[in-house]
Amino acid sequence: MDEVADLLLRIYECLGGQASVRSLVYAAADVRARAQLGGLSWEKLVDIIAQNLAGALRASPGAARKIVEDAIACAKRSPSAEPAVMAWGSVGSERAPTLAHIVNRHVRIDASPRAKLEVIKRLNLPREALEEARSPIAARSEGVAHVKSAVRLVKRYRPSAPPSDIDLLMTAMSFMKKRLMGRPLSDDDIHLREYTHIIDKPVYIALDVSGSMKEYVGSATKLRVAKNAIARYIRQMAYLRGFVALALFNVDADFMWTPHAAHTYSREMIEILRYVYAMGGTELASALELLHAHGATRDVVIISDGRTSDADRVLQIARKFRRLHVVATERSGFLRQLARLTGGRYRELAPGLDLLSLYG
Amino acid sequence: MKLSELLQREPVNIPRLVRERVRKLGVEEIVRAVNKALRGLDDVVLDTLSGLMIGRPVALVGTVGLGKSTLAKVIAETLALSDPPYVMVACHSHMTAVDLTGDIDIAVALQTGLDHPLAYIPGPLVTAHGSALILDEINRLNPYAQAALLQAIQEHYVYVRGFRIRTDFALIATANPSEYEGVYELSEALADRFKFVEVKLPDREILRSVLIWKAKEYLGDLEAEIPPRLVDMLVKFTYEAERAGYPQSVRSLSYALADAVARAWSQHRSAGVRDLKLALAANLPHTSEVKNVLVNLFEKAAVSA
Repeated sequence: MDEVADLLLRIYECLGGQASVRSLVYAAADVRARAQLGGLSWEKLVDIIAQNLAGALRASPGAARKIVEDAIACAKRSPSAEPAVMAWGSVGSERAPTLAHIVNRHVRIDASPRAKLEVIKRLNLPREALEEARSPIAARSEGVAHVKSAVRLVKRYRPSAPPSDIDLLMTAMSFMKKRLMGRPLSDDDIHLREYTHIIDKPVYIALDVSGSMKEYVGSATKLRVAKNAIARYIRQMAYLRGFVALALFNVDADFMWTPHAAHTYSREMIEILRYVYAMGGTELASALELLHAHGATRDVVIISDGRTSDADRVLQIARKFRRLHVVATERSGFLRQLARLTGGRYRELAPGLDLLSLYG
Repeated sequence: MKLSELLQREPVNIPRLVRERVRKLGVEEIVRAVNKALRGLDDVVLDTLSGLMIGRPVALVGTVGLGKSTLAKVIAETLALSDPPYVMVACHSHMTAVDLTGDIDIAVALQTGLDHPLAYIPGPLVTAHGSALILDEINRLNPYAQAALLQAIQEHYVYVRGFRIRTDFALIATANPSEYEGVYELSEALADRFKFVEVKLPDREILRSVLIWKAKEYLGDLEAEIPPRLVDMLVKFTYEAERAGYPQSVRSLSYALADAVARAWSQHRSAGVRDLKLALAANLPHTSEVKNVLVNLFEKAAVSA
């Protein structure tokens, strides 16, 4: 009886939870009842399991039998398959689509983050993505306080200006002045700030989303810490009116979004970040190739654990870059070497990491 | 049936009742009893019994004419959980939940009280308490009726205008495969509660004996001989047709055989291939196009046999 239960359990795992627990319980009882009636062979056992699972699998008894046979074959294979599962977190070259790959199948690669977010919400995302999306991102912008104001000059109001650009202090003072003088208010009294683009070139972030990013640093996964750092960075860039692009890579790389104004899309960008999940092997060279092909050869931030499968190729491509800033999720001599080679900075990922300091 | 009595019904442990009956009768006896009406379905009988023994509703799935309904009836009769042994419902797409549960006639109830025999006319779900319920062609039930059935299976209670009536029954359903048109899919929750047992075309030898046996039964006291060559042809044709995607009904095949023999008898000669071909064309439940295909198949089978 225990063997039947074991078998059913493994079938359940191999079916990926498709079969209902009720039908499994009945299948176990049914096998026993049928054994009492006599004539129970292995073939019959499979038949009975299939008959009981057919309803839950939404298949005819014949089709259900095929599914159950496949599941039994998979259950027999699974003990030897375990080592491969262990390796999934490290180097490996297991191909798995990143969120960027999935989304870009449905929308232009240079579509705005808003369009991409709409696509994400309508897609049938992998379970990993939905689990990731459940936990919120802590993008507390403690970084903003020390970001120097980027105001270049204050000028007169024009109707198309966004309300966030209004310089409240200047406007209030001029309103007060008019009130004291007893004169009517006009558009001229509203002052706008005009920003200077301190960060005038778009910033490219390449985020490692391989399976190894699911490992924990402290109380959160590496991916989560990295997401928080990126979200904080997006907030800072919004304040600085910079452009941000995010590329995701495991074995392949693709743009989650191409350079877009952070102050326009910060909300969407952070929302998309929530859905980014980790899966598959690591190939840092793929990210560098993608960025190079896109003409982004300087001031790139790479967030990775450095467990790439082809280190020589990475170093070879890295020579084409200037200032690759590297954020390592674990201490890595290789990544330090990569940063030094291109004149960039090397940091290790920590919960309070400020990406902006890389440019300081 | 008085409503007040129905409301005080005691639960019946049906799976235990079935197990006791099986133990008392013995499996061989049940199989033998079924074999009086149907042959070649011993495995299906055991599968059905084991399902009923653990309290799981059983659905017999198969194309028309393989003896699903008969099998369900014979099993219920053999088990004879109560008297009458079963309640049978021919399901159809316009069946409502009320058709299954029964309803209170408010006009009668107002004049004579709820306990008048006509105030509440119970439906099959209620009358099947303590015995077997056979739902023929369950896949024709619309979602509304399925919901009422689901409640009865799951909670063992039926709700009629707020009155809660206990009902326990051994459920045997028959269903056509889902690829048939004009039928509803069972809802996910309902399908999950059924054990689906497939009724297949029997083996060649058994099919042969079934055809002869049934044809003889239909011919009755007609003193006509069934040529074994025709039966071989028919068996061969049946398997060819199934391979070509036209599963045949054993019922219409045996009627066709009997029809051919009776036709020849009426003309004072023994039946030939031509008789059987005509009888098949007349007896098979298909459109004319499909019939043409099948007649061609039969001619091929006749030549090779």
